[in-house]
Amino acid sequence: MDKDFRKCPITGFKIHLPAETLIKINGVTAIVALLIGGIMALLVALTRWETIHLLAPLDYYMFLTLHGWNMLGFWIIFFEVAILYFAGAVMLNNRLAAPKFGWLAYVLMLAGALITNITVLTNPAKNAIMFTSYVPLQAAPLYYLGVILFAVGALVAVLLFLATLYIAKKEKTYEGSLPLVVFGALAAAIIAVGTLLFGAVALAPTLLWSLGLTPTWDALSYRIIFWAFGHASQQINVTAMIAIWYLLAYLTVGGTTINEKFSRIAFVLYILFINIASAHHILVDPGVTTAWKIWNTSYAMYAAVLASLMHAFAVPGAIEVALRKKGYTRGLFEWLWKAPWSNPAFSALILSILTFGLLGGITGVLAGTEQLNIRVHNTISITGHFHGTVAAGTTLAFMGITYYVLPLIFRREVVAKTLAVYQPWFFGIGISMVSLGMMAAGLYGIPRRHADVTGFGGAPFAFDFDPTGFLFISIMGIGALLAAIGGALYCLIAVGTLLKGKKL
Amino acid sequence: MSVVPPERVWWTEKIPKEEKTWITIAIIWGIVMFIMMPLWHVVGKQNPSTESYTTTPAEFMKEADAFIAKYKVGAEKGVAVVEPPVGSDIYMVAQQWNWYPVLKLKKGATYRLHLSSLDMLHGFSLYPMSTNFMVVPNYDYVITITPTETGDYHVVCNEFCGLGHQMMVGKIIVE
Amino acid sequence: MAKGKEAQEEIPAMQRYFDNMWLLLIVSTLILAISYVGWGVWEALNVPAK
Repeated sequence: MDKDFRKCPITGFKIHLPAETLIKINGVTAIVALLIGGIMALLVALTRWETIHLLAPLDYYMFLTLHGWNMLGFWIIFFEVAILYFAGAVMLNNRLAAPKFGWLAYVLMLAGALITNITVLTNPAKNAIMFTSYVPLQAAPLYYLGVILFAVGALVAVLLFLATLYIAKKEKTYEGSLPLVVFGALAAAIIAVGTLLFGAVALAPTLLWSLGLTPTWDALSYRIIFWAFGHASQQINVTAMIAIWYLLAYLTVGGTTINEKFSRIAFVLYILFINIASAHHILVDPGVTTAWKIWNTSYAMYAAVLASLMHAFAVPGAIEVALRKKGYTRGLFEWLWKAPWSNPAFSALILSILTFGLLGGITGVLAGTEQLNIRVHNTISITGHFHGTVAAGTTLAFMGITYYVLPLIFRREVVAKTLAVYQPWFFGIGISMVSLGMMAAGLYGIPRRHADVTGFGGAPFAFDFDPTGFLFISIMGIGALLAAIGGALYCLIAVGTLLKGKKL
Repeated sequence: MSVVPPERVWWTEKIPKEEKTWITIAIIWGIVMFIMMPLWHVVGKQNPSTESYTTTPAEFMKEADAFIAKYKVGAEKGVAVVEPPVGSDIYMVAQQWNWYPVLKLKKGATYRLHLSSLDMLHGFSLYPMSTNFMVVPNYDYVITITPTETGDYHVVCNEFCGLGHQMMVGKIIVE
Repeated sequence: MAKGKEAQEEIPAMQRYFDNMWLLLIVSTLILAISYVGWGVWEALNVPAK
C-alpha cells in the first residue's frame, strides 16, 4: 500500500493520511466552536429567562450575534467539512484531490471565524448586528471581511470535495454509483455551492458599502439574497445530517436503506427544491407577490418536504429491518426495546430523528405557510423551530458520529463511557425543552432577539406579556441548563478522549 | 449497504408497497397544504397584504406628519394620539427607537394601515394577537385591517434594529 | 453476483442523471438563482411608486 495510506483494521477502508489529518483538524476546530457557542448560548438563555435576566442589552446582543455565528456558522460547517473529506476520500478508498487546498480552506475558515468573533467582541456597539446582518444596519468592514473569508474557505473545501469525487471516478477507486452516504454528502455539497455563491452576492456589496465605496442598497433585495445563503446553509445541515443518519444506522445496527432508488430520489428532491424554501423568510414582507411566495415556499418546497418524509421512513425502517434480522422479531416492538441503547451513538441517532422530525421539521412546514407565518414571524417561536432542527437534530447526529470518529479516525478509546451513555439524553431532552418552551412562548407574542421583554428599557408604552408566556420561557431556561450539561459533557468526553483515551 | 456502492443497476429495483403507500400519503398531505395557501386568500380573512409602494423616509414622514396634523386629538406620554375617520388611510412610522403616532380606531371599522421605516428594518408585532409584519425602509406596506375587539393594543418591534431595539413599543387603542 | 447477464444490462438514463454531479449542481444552482433570487429581486425592484 502507498505510504500515504493506512488500512483501517475495523472497517477495511483505505484511509488517505493527509485527508485524515484534515478531518481531525476540522473536527477539533468544530468542537472548540461548539464550546464557545455553547457558553454564549447559556449566557443568552439566562438573559431571556426573565427570572435571571443576566445580561444588559449590549452584552446580550453581542453574545447573541456570536452565538449565531459560532453555532450556525463555525461549529456546523467545520464539522461538515470533516464529513465531506471523510465521505469523498475515506469512504471511497480514495485520495483527497489536493490536500494543500484543504489547508488553504482551513486557514481561511479559521481566520474568518477568529476575525468575526474578535470584531464583535471588541466593538459590539458597532458590530453586534446579528447573524443576519441586515442592511441598513452597518458593521465595520472587518466584520464583513471575517464572514467572507470564512465563506470563501468553506467554498474551497466544498470544491476540493467535488474534485476528490471526480478523481475517485477517474481513478476507479470504486465501481458503479456512489455509496448512499457519499451521495448524501454530495447533495449537501451541491447545496453548499449555491449557498456560498449567494452569500458572496449578499456580503460583497455590503462590504464595499461599509468601506464607503458604494451607496447603500435595497433592504428588501438584501433580505431576499441573504436568505438564499441563510436558509440554504440550513439545508446543507439537513442534508448532511441525513447522510449521517444512514451512516449511523449502518454503524450502530448494520442497517441500510430498504431501497436505494427511494433514498436517492429523496436526496435529489433536496438538491432541486429545498433551497427555494428560503422564501418562507419573506412571507410577511412588502414588495413580493403572493405568487412568488406560494410557489417557492409551497408548491416547490413541498417536494422537499416529501423528501424529508421519505428519509423519515427509510432510516427508522433501516434500523427496524436490521434489528429484526438479528432475531428481535417478537411482537411489534421487541426490536426497539432490544436496540443498543447503551451505545451513545445510537441514542443520539434516535434523538436526532425524533427532534428533527417532530419538533423542527413539522413546525417549519407549518410556520412556512403564509397565513400561519403572520402569527409567528420574528417571535421566539421561530427560534424554537430552528432549535428543533439544527440545535437538536443536526447537532445530535454530529455528536453521535463523533463516538465513531474518536476510535476510528483519532484511534483513541472513548473515555468516561458511562457518562457518554447519558450525554445525548442530557443534551437531547434539554434542547427539546428549549425548543418547545420557545415555540409556546412565541405564540404569546414574545419576540426573538429582544433584550428586555419585561421592562422594555423604561419605554413609555411598556406593558406586560401574558405570564403564561413566561412560564414557557422558564421551561426554556431549565432546558438550556440541561442542554448545557449535555454539551459540556460532549466537549469534555471528546477532548478527554483525545488527550487521555487509550490508543487503539 | 449504504456505505458501499450499490448494485450496478439500482434504478429498476422495485419500491416496496409500504414505501409507495407512505409516498402517496405524503404527496396528498403536500397537495392539501399547497391548496390551503391560495384558497385562504379567497375564503379567509387573515392573509399577508399584497399592496406595497416604493417611498423614501422623507416622503413617508411627510405623509405621516400630515396625517397626524389632520387627525390629532391629544397626546399620551409625549406621543401624538390620532383618531382618523373610518375607512381612511392611516399611518404608523417606525424609527430607532419608537413607533408613532398612537392610533385610536373604531371597532368593526376597516382602515388602510401604511407601515414604513425611517431608518432600519423593524418588525411590527401586534400584541396580544401576535400579528407580525416586516417594516422595510423605502417601502410603504399597506395592510387593510379591521379591529374586532375593543381595548388597548401594543406594538412591539421584533426585528433587531440597533441597541435601543428593546425600547420600541407603540400603542393602538380600539373603542 | 451473475456478471455475465448483468454486465450487458444498460444503465437507465435516470440513473445516469443521478450519477452526474455536474448536472445536479447546475440544475440546483439555476433553480435557486431563477425561481427564488431572480424572480424575487425582480419583484422587489419593480414595486410601483404610489
